[in-house]
Amino acid sequence: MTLVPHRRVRVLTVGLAALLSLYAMMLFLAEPLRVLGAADSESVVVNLIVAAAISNTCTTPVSLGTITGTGDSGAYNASRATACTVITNNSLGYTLAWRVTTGSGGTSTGYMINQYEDTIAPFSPAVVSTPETWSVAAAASEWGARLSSTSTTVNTGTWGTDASSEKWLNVGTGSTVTIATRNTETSGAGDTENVGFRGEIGASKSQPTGNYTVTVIFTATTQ
Amino acid sequence: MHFSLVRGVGIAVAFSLFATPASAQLEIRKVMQNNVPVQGDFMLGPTRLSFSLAPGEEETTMLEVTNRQGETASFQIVTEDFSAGSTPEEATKLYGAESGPFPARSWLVPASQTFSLRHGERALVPVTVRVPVDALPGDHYAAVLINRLMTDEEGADQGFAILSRVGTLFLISVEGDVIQKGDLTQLRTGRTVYGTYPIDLHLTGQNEGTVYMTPIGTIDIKNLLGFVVDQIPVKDWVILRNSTRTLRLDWQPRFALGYYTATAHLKIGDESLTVVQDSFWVLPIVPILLALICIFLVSFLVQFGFSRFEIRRKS
Repeated sequence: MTLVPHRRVRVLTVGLAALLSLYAMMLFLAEPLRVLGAADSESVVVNLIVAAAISNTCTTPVSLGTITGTGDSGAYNASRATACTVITNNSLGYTLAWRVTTGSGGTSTGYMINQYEDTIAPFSPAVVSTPETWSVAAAASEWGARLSSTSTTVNTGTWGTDASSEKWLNVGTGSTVTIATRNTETSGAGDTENVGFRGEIGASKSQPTGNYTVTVIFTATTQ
Repeated sequence: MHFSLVRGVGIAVAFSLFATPASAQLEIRKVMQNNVPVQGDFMLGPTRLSFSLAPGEEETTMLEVTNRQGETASFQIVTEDFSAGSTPEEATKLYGAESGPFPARSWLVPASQTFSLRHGERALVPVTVRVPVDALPGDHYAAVLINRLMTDEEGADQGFAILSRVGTLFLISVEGDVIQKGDLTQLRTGRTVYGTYPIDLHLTGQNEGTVYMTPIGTIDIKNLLGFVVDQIPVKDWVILRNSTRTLRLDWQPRFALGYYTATAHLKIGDESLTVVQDSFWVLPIVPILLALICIFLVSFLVQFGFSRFEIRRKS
């Protein structure tokens, strides 16, 4: 299967000519005629108005298990997470935001609180509202949350990747903080946003015993 | 004396009945829907409503809540202020019990604070928007938020109780001296060179006025020769007052190769906005390699054939 030199040159020249011709046809004909575009230019008149609707349901409750004395509940794990399913037909998608329900931490709203009013403070990132690697001082006890990289619309640049580069954030009080967005309608099955929780009692912290709880509210609205 | 007292009370009761604002007498209506699947959730619609009202005016609208829980469920209605988020990508920020920058949550009056629905039932919830007589002209933003009341099993006695809810955004424009001022500031692509589709386009608009703006139009995609190869419609995009919003759109062509320019042609009413554009390359490696292999293979086979055989006219 060898060719004489002048035939080899012809293979190249004919091939190149064919390539250029194809690309020229694409530029002059196929693309201007919108054969390759995403949009279909035909219009259909319809008299039905479909209004946007939205649903959001998150699994509840979530338990971090038991920490004996001191320790960390651990990296992201589906068993310590809530799965929020958001469904919308809104063509601009939705935003999902979190917030601690006002009053769930008693006088220290935003804290986990037990039946004796003892508290666990929220995670405190160095830069406010910016997720960062989990780190709790030995003398402190904190809780936080993260959007898992298994979520449908996660920005791993912000939240990192489960297990390898997890970043965590406090769930604040007051106004909501958007954790996930989508810019188109969802499928009928919806998007699943997995939010993991974590708590740690520092090595030199004496955290009173008790059942610590907090209520986190996830709100989905359209864009 | 006794008669006059009874008569007085009667008149007062009658007056209070008839003097009650019409909206306060509105009740939640329930309608059973057919073939509602069990999805373990509830659906709220519409998700955004706009009003243009004069100070002192009121208007009642209807929200629809459909129970798809698979069982009877109780729901709670609350109102909160909202505004645009602090970043262009954050569409909305809800303020809870606090007041937002353009508050209106006290203007929203749902017909009830709680209601219950059987599976498959749809509630038509009247919500009255009452603009105070001293309301400042311009936009005011509030949301009606609905959540299912948790059962005892769902509440946490250890760990985290999760409350999920959805909301309808109310954009209330109070008539008067309002400022309409805003423009597009940028159109950019996520990258300069794309090997695969879709191509992500980020369109940013800034609203410096006191009312929301809704730019509509298209983003034209032009090829190397300047031919328009596709148009992406921009619609339903709302930029709230005093905010900057970025809208992400995806261009998903059937095939693209080469250099392209995306140009946004948007309008608000009859007024055209500043034209913004960005350029990018699309070089889909796999299709290019396949095309190269196919073309040169065919070319080689043709030359190989001609070097071994010849076609001759019969003598």
